[in-house]
Amino acid sequence: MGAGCRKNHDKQLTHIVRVSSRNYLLVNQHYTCHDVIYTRHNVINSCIYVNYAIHLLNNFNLPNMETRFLLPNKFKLIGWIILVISVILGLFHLFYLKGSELKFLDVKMFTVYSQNFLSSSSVIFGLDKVNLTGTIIGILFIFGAVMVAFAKEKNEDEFITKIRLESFLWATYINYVILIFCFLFFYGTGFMYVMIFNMFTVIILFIVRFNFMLYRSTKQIQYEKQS
Amino acid sequence: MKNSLKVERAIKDITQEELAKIISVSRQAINSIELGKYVPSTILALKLSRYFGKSVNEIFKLEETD
Repeated sequence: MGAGCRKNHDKQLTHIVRVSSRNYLLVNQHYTCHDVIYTRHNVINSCIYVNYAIHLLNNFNLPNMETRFLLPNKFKLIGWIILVISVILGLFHLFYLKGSELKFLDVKMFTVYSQNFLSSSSVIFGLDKVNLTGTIIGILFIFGAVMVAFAKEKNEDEFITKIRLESFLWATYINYVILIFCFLFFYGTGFMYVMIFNMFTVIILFIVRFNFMLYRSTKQIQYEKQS
Repeated sequence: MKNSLKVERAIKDITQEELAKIISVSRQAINSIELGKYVPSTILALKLSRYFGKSVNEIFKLEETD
């Protein structure tokens, strides 16, 4: 009975596989087009995406199977440490301190554009009194997340690059789906919170998706070994 | 596209992991190629063909739907 099940399962598997390999080819042809769209969307958000898109475009011309524009593998661990610290600090700041700022981080520094919420006074290209709580946590988070997301895997190769690309595409789509939802159902200060979180959702979604896909492909190997 | 990688591997009597090491790719790559979920690059296909001593056409075959 067990053997019978396995056979059926295999048949189904080859069928799915056939469909998916065809789909993959189709998807693959569209990649460069998507990359361009990506780049357009994200220039506003951050330079990271631009760099990554350049990496994607360049990657197709590589003479070997290695990937360019990725950080060395050892950055992964450092990245995770920084990321965890910044997330703890961020949640502490947002929910425990209720967004109020740490007094010792009040400084006077150069700003490009700074406007006070309460008064209508604004500073353009000049010195202003600012608080660096959010600045430090945000920058820490970006450093950590970028290291985690774009450090090479130990066995980085073209297959993992493919997972990387697809995860990035997926993350961007889902991010904008979530954003549309939030545009519709969040208003006022609620929407301000959405904007704060949305600065980081693309990279968070990417990290989650990418690691999940890697985990799944490893799981598949274990399944193969057992059979 | 279908491939006979699993068969070739059986003939040589090596595991996915050993093959992955020889070709210097991840184990996941070899596994996904065998399952037909991943179409390897020309370079990877040529490396596999060199290792098995068979032409790429013998290992990878187009299907009517391709």
